[in-house]
Amino acid sequence: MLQITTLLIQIIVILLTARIVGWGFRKIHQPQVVGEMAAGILLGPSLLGWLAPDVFAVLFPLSSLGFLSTLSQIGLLVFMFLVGLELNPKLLRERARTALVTSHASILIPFLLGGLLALYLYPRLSDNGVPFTHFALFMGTAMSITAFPVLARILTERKLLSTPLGGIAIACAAIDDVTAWCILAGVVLLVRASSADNVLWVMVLGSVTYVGVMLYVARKALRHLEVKYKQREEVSKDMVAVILLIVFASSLATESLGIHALFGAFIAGAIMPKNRGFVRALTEKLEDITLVLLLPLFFASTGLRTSIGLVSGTEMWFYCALIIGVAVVGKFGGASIAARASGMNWRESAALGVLMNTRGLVELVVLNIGLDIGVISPALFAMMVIMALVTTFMTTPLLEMIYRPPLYARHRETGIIQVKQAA
Amino acid sequence: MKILIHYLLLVGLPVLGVLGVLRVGQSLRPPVSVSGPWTVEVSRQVMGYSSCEDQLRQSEPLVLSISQSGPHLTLSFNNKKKINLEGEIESTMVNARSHHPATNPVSDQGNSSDAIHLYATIDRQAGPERLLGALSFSKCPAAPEINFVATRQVRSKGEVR
Repeated sequence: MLQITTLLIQIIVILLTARIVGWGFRKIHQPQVVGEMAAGILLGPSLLGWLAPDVFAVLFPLSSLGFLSTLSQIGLLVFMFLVGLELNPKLLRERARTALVTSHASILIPFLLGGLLALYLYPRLSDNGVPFTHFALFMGTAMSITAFPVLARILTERKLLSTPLGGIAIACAAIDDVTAWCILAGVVLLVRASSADNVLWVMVLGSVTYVGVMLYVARKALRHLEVKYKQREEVSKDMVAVILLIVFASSLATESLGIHALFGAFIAGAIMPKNRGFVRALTEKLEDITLVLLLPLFFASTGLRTSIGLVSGTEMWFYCALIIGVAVVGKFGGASIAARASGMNWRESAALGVLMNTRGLVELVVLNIGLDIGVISPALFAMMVIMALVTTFMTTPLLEMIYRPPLYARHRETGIIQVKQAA
Repeated sequence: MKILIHYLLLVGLPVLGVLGVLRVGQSLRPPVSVSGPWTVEVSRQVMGYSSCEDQLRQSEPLVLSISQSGPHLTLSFNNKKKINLEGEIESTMVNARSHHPATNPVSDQGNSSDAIHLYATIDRQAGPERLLGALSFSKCPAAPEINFVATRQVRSKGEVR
């Protein structure tokens, strides 16, 4: 089959499956994205390859996967740009006091538990080609991820975004996102620097210079975009082209520096002007193609790399259950305790813990990076993908249980929900 | 003041904990790494002895790809019949067998009478890493084992593992 024919058939099958499974998940009150993530796994060796190996071999021949993967990576770059674009520093400043303790604790407690888990899993699921430091730091990072975009969607769908809980959750998730990406960039830098061709100090110096240029030079220059937007009240095609050029140039810079292209796309989004109209107009221009077409390709690409068959036997399923348990205890427990310590009541603290436990596709992005740089093994990758799916899936029903809308509405009427300012 | 105490307790302590974990973990000894592609050279004297050995005959260089998760290994040859094996590594010994039908219905080597067994030792003398081993086919009990030497392929530039 011609390569373009294969690719087109793959796209059709992936889109169709993503929409159907996504629709099914919406019917059980789950976000569409969770269904799309599951659809990716269904199309991989874990289900389609297991049930119909001949169909799987014709549909996803090994030689064609490079094209699919490249296309999905481009989509992922635009998606990470949108994640960065959604970050609002003003929101962070407003809730800095409560959000800072909660978000840092909700990163470091699961990070520590991830490290402790690494002590157990390193001899069982890794090998001596991976130094323990790299393995433990990666496990810590993977455990501390919160999916900012999925969280934002859940809060919007449940009309919680404008509530104190929603505000704190989104601010914490934003701080988590930035911190986790910085830690991950550091881990990738460490891993790549340990290969013979790279020198750590050159990479670190280059990265610091890059961040400095983006924050203090590029961000100021980008204000012209905001001025132009205010004059015309629209994001023109030329403006979109300039922005995409910035995204891809920034991605190229970080990839060349050894800290992964996705980090560059995220930073490009984070330094964009935060004028509400500008952000909304730009998001509308880029979001549909990215979310509807390119992200399902990424999920399928991830699914094709996920072989749940590798998690076989009681021993392997025990490791998987342990990973899920540690992930939930670390993130839910860490965020809840920190929120309670910051003055929120137990119900709100638990709800915040549930929300922060949403890992979603950001976790998948991180896991793919881990597999690419060789820090995690294929079986561990499969277990962590299961963990990402389970923790994302459990968010909506748990939130419903802990923080029911009627109860919430009653609380709002009586003014019970208040975030006490600590100190 | 209260927030500072909370910060130190909830953030400072975990940071110390992470540093402790990194220190303790240095003493852990995971299995030897064998993951990645290996170029296989099969002993010429025995090739062509039976249909079993002929499975490994092909024009392209024979490559053994190993996927590793701790001591658990998945091995696959790039020969026409795509021999897939599952096994383990213990110290420097690799031991693998063809898939069992109950665990993998996809495999075309599921029949236990067609079982293929591979064992090999990692040779860590100077130079590129090598696997010295042998393959045996239960379908051809009369045929001798096929000895092979597999040399680990050099990792490309930028590739970490």
